Amino acid sequence: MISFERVHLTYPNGVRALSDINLEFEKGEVVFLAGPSGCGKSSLMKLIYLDERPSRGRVMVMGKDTFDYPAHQVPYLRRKVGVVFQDFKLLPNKTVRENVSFVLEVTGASRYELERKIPQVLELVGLAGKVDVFPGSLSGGEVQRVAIARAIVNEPLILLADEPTGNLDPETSWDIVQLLLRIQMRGTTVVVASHDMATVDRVKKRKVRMEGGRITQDG
Amino acid sequence: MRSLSYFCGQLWINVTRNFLMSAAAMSTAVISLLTLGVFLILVFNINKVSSEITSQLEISVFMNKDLPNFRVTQLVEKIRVLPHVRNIEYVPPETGIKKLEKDLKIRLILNPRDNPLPPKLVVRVTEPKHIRGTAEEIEEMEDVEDIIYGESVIQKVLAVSLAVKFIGFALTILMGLGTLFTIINTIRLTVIARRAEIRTMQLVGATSWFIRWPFLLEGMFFGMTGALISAAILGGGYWMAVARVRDILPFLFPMVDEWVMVRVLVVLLLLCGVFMGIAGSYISVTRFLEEEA
Repeated sequence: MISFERVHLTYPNGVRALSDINLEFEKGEVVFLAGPSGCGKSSLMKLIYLDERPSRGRVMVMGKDTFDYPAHQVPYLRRKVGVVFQDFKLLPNKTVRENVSFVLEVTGASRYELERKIPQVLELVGLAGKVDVFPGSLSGGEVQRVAIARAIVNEPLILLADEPTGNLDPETSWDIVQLLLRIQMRGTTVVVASHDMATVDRVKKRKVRMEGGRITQDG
Repeated sequence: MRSLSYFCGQLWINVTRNFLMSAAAMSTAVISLLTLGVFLILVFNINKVSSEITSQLEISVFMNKDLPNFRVTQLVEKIRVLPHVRNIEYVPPETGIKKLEKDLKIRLILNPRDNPLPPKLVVRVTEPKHIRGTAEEIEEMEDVEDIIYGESVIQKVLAVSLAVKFIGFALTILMGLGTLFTIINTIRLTVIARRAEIRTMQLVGATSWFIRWPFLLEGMFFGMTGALISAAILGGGYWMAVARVRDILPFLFPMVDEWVMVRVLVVLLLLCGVFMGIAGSYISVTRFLEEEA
């Protein structure tokens, strides 16, 4: 589903984010990227949703080299990749329902699809009672759930979650991880980046450890 | 259709939830279009006055005092067939002296037989530029004693009228550009205020046009609302000004008709407002999307 072949990423300001990354994620697999802040987890994810392109090497997403996606095709790839951003990127002036439905509107979904999918996904993340609430009035865990709901409402083939348990108490973190695992059960490839080693170690799934932009352990 | 209803819904949500920013954008549109509107009123009225003056230019044709009536009629017919002649008015000596007495507010003659004025024809042409050629043709005609058409005045009036039209046109273009840049910059501020939203839209797979549409509609809405408010203010003000000038100068009315002016204001300000709103949004959002691409 996703592969990295000798990938290097250096930002225009000269900061080297990734060095010689070789990885492969299978369809329906769940992988935890673990490592301290600044080790390159978010950069690696940006290469998957084409917010960045590698300086060297090749990134394949859904069987296609990311360099083969011209700018006008990038939105269509992004519709198949759900992302839970580290800073959530929820729109503060839109309600929970609007934040989630927004992703469907982008694809030109019908009203029927909206009416069907939004309650389902909000039910799945446990926010059925908060549809008309603005993000500013939600707790940290609830905001995280809205971000997850938005990322999966489009039924993406890949789900990327960047620090989904950051700043959450251990119990809520575990709930979020369980939720991500439930989503993986539906056949979605799930990649979770986290510096919360305690939570990552609790899950008996594939772990890729990173440090200084390199992979130090895979398995 | 689904997208259209979504975009219209978004327009309403964005305008109401970002009320202060929307109010700022709309006020700027109103102020800019008001300035442009005042300018349009001035240009239209100056042009009207200039056209009035030039249309009143005339040729005075003096005939022999003892010319029999049938010869006068013959001369009138000869002049009437000339190209560019709009109308001819016969002023007999007795009418001429009465007008002179009225203008000077004194009694000049007691006996009509003492009237020194010759009979006169007043000839008006279709356009001021033809006055000289027409006058020269009439001067060659039999029974014409003298002719007056103020050549130097006509040249000056024509030059001033042309200059007014040209300067008015150039200044209107400049004012329009000034208004465009003001509206673009204001809309740019609303785009900057929502850059996080645009960035999120890009990251969840929105195409550039999907992102642009709500902003274009918003720009159109600001421009249209601004234009209607400015047209209402200026139209109302102009209406009152016209009524006042009519009271003061009932016979010499130099202003453009209020209905005509209101229609001109509504149409031109709406066109400018809508175009500038859409152009402003398009330029601002496109520049932002290019930066983020």
